[in-house]
Amino acid sequence: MTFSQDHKDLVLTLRIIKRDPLAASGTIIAIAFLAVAAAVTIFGNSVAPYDPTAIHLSLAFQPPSFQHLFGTDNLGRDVFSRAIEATPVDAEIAFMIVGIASLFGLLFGSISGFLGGYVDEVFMRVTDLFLAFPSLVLAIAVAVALGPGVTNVILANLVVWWPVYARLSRAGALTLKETQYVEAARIAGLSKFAVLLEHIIPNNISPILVYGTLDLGNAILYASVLSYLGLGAQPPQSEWGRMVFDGQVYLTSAWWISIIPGLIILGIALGFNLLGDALRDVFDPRYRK
Amino acid sequence: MTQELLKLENVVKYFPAKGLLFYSETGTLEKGSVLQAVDGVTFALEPHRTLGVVGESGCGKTTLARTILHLIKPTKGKIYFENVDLTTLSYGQLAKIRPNMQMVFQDPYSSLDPRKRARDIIAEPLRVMTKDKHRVNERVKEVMKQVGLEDEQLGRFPNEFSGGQRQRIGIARAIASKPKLVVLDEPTSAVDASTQAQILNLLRQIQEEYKMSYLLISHNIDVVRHMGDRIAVMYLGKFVEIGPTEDVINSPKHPYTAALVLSVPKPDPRARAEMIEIKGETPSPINPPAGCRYHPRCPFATNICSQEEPKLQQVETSLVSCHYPIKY
Amino acid sequence: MSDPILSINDLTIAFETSEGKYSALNGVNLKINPSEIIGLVGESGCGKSSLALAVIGLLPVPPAKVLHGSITFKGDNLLKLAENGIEKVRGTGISMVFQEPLTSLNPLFTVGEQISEAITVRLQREGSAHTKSSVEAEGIAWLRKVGIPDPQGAFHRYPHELSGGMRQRVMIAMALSASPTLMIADEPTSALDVTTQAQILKLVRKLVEEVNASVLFISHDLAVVAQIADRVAVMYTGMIVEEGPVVEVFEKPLHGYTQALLGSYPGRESSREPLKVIPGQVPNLTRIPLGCPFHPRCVRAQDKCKTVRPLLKEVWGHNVACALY
Repeated sequence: MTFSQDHKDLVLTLRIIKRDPLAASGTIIAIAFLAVAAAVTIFGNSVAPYDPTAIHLSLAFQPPSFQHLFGTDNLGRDVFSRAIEATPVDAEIAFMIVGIASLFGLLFGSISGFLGGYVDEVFMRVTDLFLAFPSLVLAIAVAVALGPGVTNVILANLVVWWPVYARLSRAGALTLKETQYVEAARIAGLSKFAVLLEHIIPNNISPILVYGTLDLGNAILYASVLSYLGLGAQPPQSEWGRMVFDGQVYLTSAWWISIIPGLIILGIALGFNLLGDALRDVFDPRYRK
Repeated sequence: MTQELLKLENVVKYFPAKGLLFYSETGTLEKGSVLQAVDGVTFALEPHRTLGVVGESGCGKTTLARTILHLIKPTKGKIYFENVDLTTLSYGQLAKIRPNMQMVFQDPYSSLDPRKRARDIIAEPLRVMTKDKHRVNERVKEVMKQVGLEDEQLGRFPNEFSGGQRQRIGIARAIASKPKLVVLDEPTSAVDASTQAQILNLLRQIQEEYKMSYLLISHNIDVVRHMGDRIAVMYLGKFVEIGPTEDVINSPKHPYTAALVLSVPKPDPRARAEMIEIKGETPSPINPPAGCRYHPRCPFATNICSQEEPKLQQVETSLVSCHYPIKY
Repeated sequence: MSDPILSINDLTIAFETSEGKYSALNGVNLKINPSEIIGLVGESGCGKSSLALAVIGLLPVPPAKVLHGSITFKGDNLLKLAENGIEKVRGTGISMVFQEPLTSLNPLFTVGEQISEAITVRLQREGSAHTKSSVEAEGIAWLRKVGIPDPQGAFHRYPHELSGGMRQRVMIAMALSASPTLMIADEPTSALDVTTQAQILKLVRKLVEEVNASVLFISHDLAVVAQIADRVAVMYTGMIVEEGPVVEVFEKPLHGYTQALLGSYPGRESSREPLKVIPGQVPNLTRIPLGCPFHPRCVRAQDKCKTVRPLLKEVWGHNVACALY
């Protein structure tokens, strides 16, 4: 049996998760999140205890209880069920944002760092341009311009997300460029393009992976904020950010309608952060000793 | 008249260093303008011969190696490989010659791609030459055996090998394409003494079998002495002395060579000789001293040494660049 | 014959790792006398750095665990002191010089500030009065002593503004200005050019005599140790396998490992014969062979070597851990 570096990394990750309660909690939260998202996607709303769209005005404003874990909202809908229904929305948005941005950033940054010179200058100025804007503001601006809807939320966030990955990849590529195995590849006669594909990009993936995991939490936050502002998922589709907004007016009387979805957002984001932290330790050379 | 495999004529490599910081002779930090890494190197290397290049940090030997292999383009000068001037070749033409010139690197931990298996690492130069998978696999197996590793280890990743074994993989990669010239860049500096012995023996064996030429770069005189027919001593971008190994080491004619040879500690506690006093530290190649580059540190320097650069002249069996070469 | 200043007795330290118990030190016995330079030689992984760190109290405990043995320095048990903080250990008169001065000198403070700190610690230990200017004057004097060309200027510079050789001289100045009884130098010249190394070795020999300190000089390079040490100890898999006066050990090596190590050195043969190679590999420290740890690789190994773990004993003028004597 041969053990590639990836295999070793995985084993080490699992070990860290087992030992560190924070990392373990993060992993559990992340897995729960993904599991629910997958379940709802496959089985639809039947996963939830109640029909999230069913309106029962007579049951409105019930506080959390055994029957309604998170209470009911102003229209008598079960908040717990609505929260479950909302899970895949944010999951999709977050993964799409981080996935596409990281892939693009990886290629962009690797090419920039490896080729250097003129290309690097131009690429980096472009990156700087995007980074000059406060990211949330820019995302909101683009989202407003594009209009409401999940796809537009994804596009708007992609615009602000990719530069960080580009920067990260560029830094990685700059280091990798100087390694002796890259020199060996050049001496062997590989073209720059081949070196990029064979050596630079594959070895540049781990920082992206780590940052991406941490980032999923942020992506969920941004997606929720945009939805809170009315730019994301539209009713009747439930979405956590939207639920926070809708429940705002009842904050003093029926706090659970707004606060609980807010806590969920926080919790999931935190979970991914903790998991990302654990991953980061795996790749920290000092930790491995 | 033996045909020379490799010939360098006045090869120069300067790097722009505007605003670059460097350490001066007094060991303090200053600003510079041009890094004269290699400043006029001329030599020839015959087939099946070894030339050792010895020098300390900042002497330019690493840049020299990379310039010969055309990873860097020389600023001036000519590099002939089998009588073809490499500096005039196009990218495509150069690609055809590459299988004939390969390199073994210093650091076994960063000279192998950690994500690739041993067989893919070794096959890399071969895959550039041919698409015939069968031939490539055969050759990889052959070479693996030659460097003393097992077939079954071919599928493993670098992190599963020891430093010495990784170095062998690096050697296998270098000789896979049956090159005529192999540049060995500090091949044993990063391994233990006992591993070093194994590697050096292996390199000698391979050289005998393939009849290839070696350009052995090292800061370790003992290693070069064990391997080389001729030695060149490099200081601040120039060869200060070049000649047959035993002559250069036993009767060094350039004061720097003498200081270097005497500075090398010997594993013999009775031989605690006082060395020729060498002052200060190596100046930076960003701001080399005028005249003879060694003069600020040379105990024999006179006025001429600070004004006029000495030319390489024949002194007995060696070429020496010094106004007052040591006579024996 | 005065008492040794440092006495390491049967020191056994292991690390718990995911792959098992990593035996860094396995019953190390070593004594250092006043005013002597003792060279500790061994290849990477033999435990020499762990030993240095254990003496100076920098070994992280846990994950390291002291299973057995003691380190006695001028009557104090260093292992106990280390639990109360390294300052106490260093306060007893041990200094250390590391291999890479860039990472062991604090980049945020000037050279002057750092050497002043070392001097002040010593003065406080001695209970002497001192002023800022007297400390500075002494600091500059030390920088001059270690051969730094512009000591005044260097005093006010930051470590990164000096070259490698200069930084190493600063480290030596700091180590010796603390007036140590024992200076531990862990591969102090391995990162330096050979001419700079020769200068530093000469400097260390001279200064150590002046200051009357003992030195534990650790190196993987036999030749370097031959140049500087009065006595030599050879280390393999966490134990001392041979130890004695330097000329004795180099000219009449008794242990199979010492012999093999000396034989594999290229400089000794000016002929082009293939170098003698030590067969096999250094064992993984989680699986040290039973009996004599070197027996699988020893050309003279006999049956008893597989079961008996030899202890250091005196043979023909120096100490060796081999069952064949």
